[in-house]
Amino acid sequence: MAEAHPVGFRWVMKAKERGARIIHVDPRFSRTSAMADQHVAIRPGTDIAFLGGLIRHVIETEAYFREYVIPYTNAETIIDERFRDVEDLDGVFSGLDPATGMYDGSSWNYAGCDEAEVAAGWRVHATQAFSEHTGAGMRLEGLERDETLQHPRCVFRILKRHFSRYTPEAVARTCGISREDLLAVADAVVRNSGRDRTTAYCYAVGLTQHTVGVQMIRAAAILQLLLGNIGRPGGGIVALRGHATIQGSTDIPTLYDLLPGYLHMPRAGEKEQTLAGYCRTEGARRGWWANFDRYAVSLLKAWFGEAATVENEYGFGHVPRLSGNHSHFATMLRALDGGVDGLLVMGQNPAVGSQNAGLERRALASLRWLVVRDFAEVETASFWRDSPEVQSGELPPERIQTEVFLMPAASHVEKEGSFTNTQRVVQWRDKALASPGDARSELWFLHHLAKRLKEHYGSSEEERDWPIRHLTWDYPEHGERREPDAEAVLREINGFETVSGRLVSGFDDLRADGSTACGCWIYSGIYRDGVNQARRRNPGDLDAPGGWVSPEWGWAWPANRRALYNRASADPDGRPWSERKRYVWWDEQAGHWTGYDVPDFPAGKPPAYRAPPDAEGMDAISGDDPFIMMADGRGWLYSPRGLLDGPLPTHYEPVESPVGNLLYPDIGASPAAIRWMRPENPYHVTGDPRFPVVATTFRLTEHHTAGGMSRTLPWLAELQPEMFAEIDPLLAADRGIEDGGWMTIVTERAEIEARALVTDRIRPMQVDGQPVHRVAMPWHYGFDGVAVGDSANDLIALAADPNVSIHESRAFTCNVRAGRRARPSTAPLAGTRSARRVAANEDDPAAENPKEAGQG
Amino acid sequence: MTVAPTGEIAVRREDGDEVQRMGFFTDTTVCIGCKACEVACKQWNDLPADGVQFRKGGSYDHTGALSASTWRHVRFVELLEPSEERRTQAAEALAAGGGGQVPTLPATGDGGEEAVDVARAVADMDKWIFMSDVCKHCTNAGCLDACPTGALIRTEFQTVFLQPDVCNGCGYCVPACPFGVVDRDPIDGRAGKCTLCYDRLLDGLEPACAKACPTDSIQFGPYEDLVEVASERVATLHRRGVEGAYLYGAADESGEQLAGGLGAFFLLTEPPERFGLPAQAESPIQENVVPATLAAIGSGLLAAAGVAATFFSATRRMRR
Amino acid sequence: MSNRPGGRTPTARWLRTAVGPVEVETHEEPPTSAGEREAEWVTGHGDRDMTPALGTRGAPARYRRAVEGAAVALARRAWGDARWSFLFRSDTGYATEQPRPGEIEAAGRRMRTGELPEAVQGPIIKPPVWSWEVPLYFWFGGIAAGSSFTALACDLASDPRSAATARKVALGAVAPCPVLLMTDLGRPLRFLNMLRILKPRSPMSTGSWCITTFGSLAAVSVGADVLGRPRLARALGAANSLLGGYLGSYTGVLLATTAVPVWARSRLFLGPIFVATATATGASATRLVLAATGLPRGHPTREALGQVEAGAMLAELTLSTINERRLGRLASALTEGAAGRLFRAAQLGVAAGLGLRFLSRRLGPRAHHAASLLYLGAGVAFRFAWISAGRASSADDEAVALTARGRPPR
Ligand SMILES: Nc1nc2c(c(=O)[nH]1)N[C@H]1C(S)=C(S)[C@@H](COP(=O)(O)OP(=O)(O)OC[C@H]3O[C@@H](n4cnc5c(=O)[nH]c(N)nc54)[C@H](O)[C@@H]3O)O[C@H]1N2
Ligand SMILES: Nc1nc2c(c(=O)[nH]1)N[C@H]1C(S)=C(S)[C@@H](COP(=O)(O)OP(=O)(O)OC[C@H]3O[C@@H](n4cnc5c(=O)[nH]c(N)nc54)[C@H](O)[C@@H]3O)O[C@H]1N2
Ligand code: SF4
Ligand code: SF4
Ligand code: SF4
Ligand code: SF4
Ligand code: SF4
Ligand SMILES: [Mo]
Repeated sequence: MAEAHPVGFRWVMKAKERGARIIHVDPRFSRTSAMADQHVAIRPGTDIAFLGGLIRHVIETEAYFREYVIPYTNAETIIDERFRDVEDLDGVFSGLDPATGMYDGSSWNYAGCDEAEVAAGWRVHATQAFSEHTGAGMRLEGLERDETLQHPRCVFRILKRHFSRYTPEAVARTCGISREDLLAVADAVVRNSGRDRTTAYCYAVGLTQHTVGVQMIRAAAILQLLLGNIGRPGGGIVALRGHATIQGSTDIPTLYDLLPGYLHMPRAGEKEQTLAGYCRTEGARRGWWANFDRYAVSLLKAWFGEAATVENEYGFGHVPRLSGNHSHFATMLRALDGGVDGLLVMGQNPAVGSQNAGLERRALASLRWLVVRDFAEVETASFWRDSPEVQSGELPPERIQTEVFLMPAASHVEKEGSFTNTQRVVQWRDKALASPGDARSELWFLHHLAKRLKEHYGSSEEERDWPIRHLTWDYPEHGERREPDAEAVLREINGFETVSGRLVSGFDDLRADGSTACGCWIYSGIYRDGVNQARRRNPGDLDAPGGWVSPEWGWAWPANRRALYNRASADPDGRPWSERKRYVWWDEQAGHWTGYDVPDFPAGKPPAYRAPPDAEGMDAISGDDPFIMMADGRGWLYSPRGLLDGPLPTHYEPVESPVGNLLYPDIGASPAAIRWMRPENPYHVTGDPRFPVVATTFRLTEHHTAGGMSRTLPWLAELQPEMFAEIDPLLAADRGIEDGGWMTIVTERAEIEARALVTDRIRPMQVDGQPVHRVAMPWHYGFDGVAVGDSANDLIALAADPNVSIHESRAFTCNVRAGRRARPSTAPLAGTRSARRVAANEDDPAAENPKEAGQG
Repeated sequence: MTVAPTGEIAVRREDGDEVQRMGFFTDTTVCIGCKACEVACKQWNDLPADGVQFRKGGSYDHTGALSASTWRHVRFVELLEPSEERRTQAAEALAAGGGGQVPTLPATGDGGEEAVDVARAVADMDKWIFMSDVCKHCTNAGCLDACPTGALIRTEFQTVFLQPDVCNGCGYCVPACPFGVVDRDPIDGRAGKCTLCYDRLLDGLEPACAKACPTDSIQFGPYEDLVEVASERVATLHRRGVEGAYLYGAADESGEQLAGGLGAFFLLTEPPERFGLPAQAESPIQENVVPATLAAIGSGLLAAAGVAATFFSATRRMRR
Repeated sequence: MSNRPGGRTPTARWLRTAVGPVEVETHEEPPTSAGEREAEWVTGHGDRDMTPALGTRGAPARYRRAVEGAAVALARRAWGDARWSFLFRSDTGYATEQPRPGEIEAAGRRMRTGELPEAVQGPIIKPPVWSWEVPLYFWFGGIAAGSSFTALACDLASDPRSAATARKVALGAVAPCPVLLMTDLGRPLRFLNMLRILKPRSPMSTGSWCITTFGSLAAVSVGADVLGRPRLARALGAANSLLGGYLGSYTGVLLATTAVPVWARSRLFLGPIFVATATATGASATRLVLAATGLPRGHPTREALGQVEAGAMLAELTLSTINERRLGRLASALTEGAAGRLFRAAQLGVAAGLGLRFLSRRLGPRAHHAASLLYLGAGVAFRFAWISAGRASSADDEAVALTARGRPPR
């Protein structure tokens, strides 16, 4: 965190000064470890084993926060009798189709809730939609619970049994750490949780970029729920997000499967043909998602304005339908097969930043046109003349048909806009400088592009051009450059009444009858009272009780809530768990919830309220159910639905690993992981003696991602001037690699050269009694700019988590040797092209969804 | 021509005056080695990058040292304190694997045959210390004493400022600095070092490096107050068991001060030499100029007299 | 405004004494609409001219002095933005404990005295940047100084002809000095900046004045000789020999007043050693010129010069040897590497010169001339050796660290 979130880390340092204990779990000893009280040098890809060990410890020693766990989580809920755990099936859950590697999760459901549609089938496509994961659409009338936690099929008992094999010894063997390391961490988190204390769990991509990435975070969530650390101040599992406003770009998404506010992209097929059908499958009768239709209709009204009417279902029929996995990798593979004509790349550098970057660049070379908007000519724009494939002669520039348009972009100080940070706080920033030359903001580019498109299609009678013709596009422009007014966009996002144009004051005002329009329901209220709330910079009185919440600094979605599910910061009766951890509580006299933060609960619902069995909407949430987005109002220790690879986290090895699965010897990597079996994407088998070394990638403070903004800047380039790899002195000595000298790292995909940084910060470890060496590489380098070097991503195969298609760049296998490489890095894969060909307008389910093609 | 006051050696206190001594207190115990200070300094002062070269053995430090174009520099100190237990574990692991070689790993390099000191190889790296170094703005500044052109001056903030429009690049200040701070730029020809952001101070702004520091490892402020806070910090660390914490360059007894006391001082936890700092320092001029000059002039006169005497005796001898 | 409680509020106290009541200017509120902001705040910059004032586009420029009086946006009076930051707030426990009397001093003393730690992570000091011009200047300056002694001595010994020649030699030797000094400067055209100030404590400042005066006097005295004003010439020559005493020795002081261990630790020896070299080389040079201009063999001045050069060289050797002995560990800078080779060459030269001188009775005057040339050569070598020893010594981190700890091991 000190490395990649240095400014956020100041708060960690502050906490440390106040006595907080910092534990850093990371394969490398990094600048964060240097600041930590304890560093656990875990083997890459084994965090579930580690967290599982903690969970087991908490359960076995009965250290969990019982008063919290029973009422607030689904610990007491009973699971369908058809469910079989990995304990019973040698490492897989019930419902696996071994041929496709896909689960039918219907047996994972709560007992007594016959849910019409669950898990597999139509939900194969990756999704980040909240509604998917919250039980929207679940029928919970028949829910069975056992408060004594004795029922053998209650979640708690299942959990206990599931994690029983994660003994300290097994964890130590698997993770390559010592038993004492694990127990010290366990002891620290247990002692630091409960009524008076809370533990925060911070993670970033060291935890996510695995084929079991989602389950790793689930494991952390289970631990935190058991310890009562969710919805409380100083607790939580804190995602340290990436790019500036990457949070904003998932809220108002740049993702293929989401509409603004985590509404799901409607899917091709019968069920979502109509607006009503869409709202039915997506919405829920119980819990918050009962409001789904209001948000969906208001969004359509924001898009199509007057043209959106009840009669035409507010234009819903014109919203594109999702037909498959169109995530980045699927799209680029399709491009490789000739199935993509053109690509607009705005603020991305996949020629360096995407896994199997050689494949990525070959895919770019198969396009007809490519628009890159960036500050500099990044590798994605220059690949056609200086990529390793060009250097090796595999792709001579004259044979690359891609026409590349490089358009200069304005930087963040040269335009107005907002950043949504990692804790959902939206902060508006003003423009400080005019952008040089032709550089323009994204908003300018898209605005004028949209205007030209509208003009172009203005007279079209074609049905398919309806959305373009009717798209509302009336943002005012100002200045000589005719820059659209960013705040006008923000007002539309906030939402307004369609007739009066009056801004709404929050999502409570939104209606499903077309009387309101709202660009993104979770941001509704950001322009409350005609004021750009995100531009506020009032820290408030920091010394007042709870003053540190600073509610007038920027604005947080939803409804300026700084901590989600904060009802959980009070006990079931609505009283703070302790004076020290007071945050949101029930004010008996006033008869409503109050506190330092905006309560994340219906303001007037008393703790004693009990939902009648047949209640709908928010009425179905009882006064002591803090997790209002979940259909049952509970925190899920066990996920009865929403995940494609099992209801509970299970340790699986990375797709490439030097060792087998020590916890489940019959199974190695996750059976549900996405593997793209193609000659361009070869995998190493487990224990391949040619690739005995574990590799991982990481970031440097001095560089930013694929380097377009840092390797091009001499002041940053000089700080980390060349591609390097960190290795331990033992491995270095064995291979004759010298500190500061050259070394080559080899996989089946590529071989790259790097300077060797031989350091004791990397240590060989003992995995199941065998020594295993690691090599850690920053992945920032590419072939353009001031600081150049081979890209770590040339080495890595495409493999992904089934839930969200996140890649596995954190754990793979390789070998190292002394000296420089003899040929351009990706030469090993030159000429291994599959014969697949797809036309641009042709559906190709196999490429889009490897699962469907049975490539699991 | 001006004659510089000889006595302008110690810092003058201007009581009642608006300005007083400003300085830096850099606390290495909270530095996270992010180098934001180094970049902020280069950016504010428009200093050139020093080139893109991987530095062997420098940990994450590739700019190496303070120089004419690097006025803030973050040092990385990797400290190895292998625990006994670790050593034994490692030795055992190795013995089990096979006589000093890395077991199960096919050796591909030349070093495959060499025995490896495993105990060292798996040393428990538990300390990685970062230290953001800068010009110390010495009370008794060697560079200032040396400068023949008067380019180096003491400002109203009692900092040592190098006027780039006066400096002629004579290079004398370079070896005259006991901390190896100031240097002459080979291309520009002039010497360069931290200005303590004199231009920003004039405008009422905090120096760029301190402003950028995310953990406030660099504290800027009135000298006396900094020393007070720094002393409290040391005491706090001592109470927490960090016995080795001490101030480098401030709060020393007179006679033990570094160059009369450093305007930019540090809180360190390891001996100064770990960070490339001398344990004691004084302006070499103030230390040596009087005795050396006396010896020199004495010998000069002696030589002149000696020559004359030789001539006398030679002439007399010839006459005789 | 400060975050620290009570009277122990450094910033508050400082601000009170410094500027009276704190007034942090309220930040000017920007216009409310983007269009107005654009017009008022941004458009002023116009289309930025991206050509940098200095340097290459896309690369940072060189240091430029801030424009006098230029306004800087966001300026706050009196570092309002530098008030104690979060880590220093009382609630962090960052700096809360009161030190016990003497605690802080003792902590510093503990770490800064005693044995050197195992690992020294250099570089500690910067090597001197001077290049070949400087030792060469030392040599020429030394010759000039030495000849000025000779001129005085000749005058005193009533040999005005030789005195005049010696003054010419001094002028001739001092003439290249400014050129050499200038070329070594990073900014040669700013040579005259040396003369904008006289800093008695800076040997380079006094030296610059000295050489300027010496050069002028030498020129005028030679002019006086040429114009037939011997009294003036003699007077100026006498004055110059006094200056010469400084000219020949201050260079040693200059080196001694640095942080370079081998120089600083030779502080009482460098001046005398340099004077000895100056005297010897000055004498040799004058001797050769006098011989070339027809001063007969056996002339007392030639004899005396012969004695002076040999004596001064012997003195040089003696002083150097004593110094080397007492430097102990630091002497390695003088005995090893390039410096060591130069020293050995110089010593050989001196030894050969002395030998030749004694053989000259048998071998004739040419041998003595060769001896003089050897002294001159040895002089150059000595000068280069000292500079190169300085470079080696400053790169020897351990030596620097030990010297600073005040305990160079013997
Ligand atoms: N300076 C800088 N800051 C950045 C960025 C940048 O490029 N430069 N990028 C931004 C972006 S886009 C993002 S997403 C964030 C990412 O922020 P982080 O996730 O913090 O950054 P990384 O360094 O990629 O990964 C963190 C650590 O994960 C470790 N790691 C690798 N494998 C494993 C594993 O299996 N288990 C565990 N526990 N740890 C593992 C690595 O050794 C590394 O130290 O940073 C953001 N901030
Ligand atoms: N091996 C490995 N691979 C990884 C990761 C890893 O940890 N290991 N991390 C992954 C992660 S978390 C991420 S987020 C990705 C990042 O990978 P990418 O998104 O492909 O890489 P970036 O370099 O962040 O690309 C952003 C580009 O946008 C430009 N840019 C910046 N601001 C603007 C703007 O305002 N407008 C426009 N048009 N352009 C702008 C920058 O100059 C830069 O070139 O990489 C992934 N790849
Ligand atoms: S780059 Fe910006 S967002 Fe990222 S850590 Fe630094 S200040 Fe924060
Ligand atoms: S002597 Fe060195 S450290 Fe002291 S003020 Fe001068 S340059 Fe800075
Ligand atoms: S190099 Fe410049 S600053 Fe340094 S002593 Fe010479 S004139 Fe002064
Ligand atoms: S005070 Fe200014 S000049 Fe000195 S290091 Fe900091 S930023 Fe650079
Ligand atoms: S002093 Fe501050 S800015 Fe500099 S490296 Fe340390 S933490 Fe970063
Ligand atoms: Mo990211």
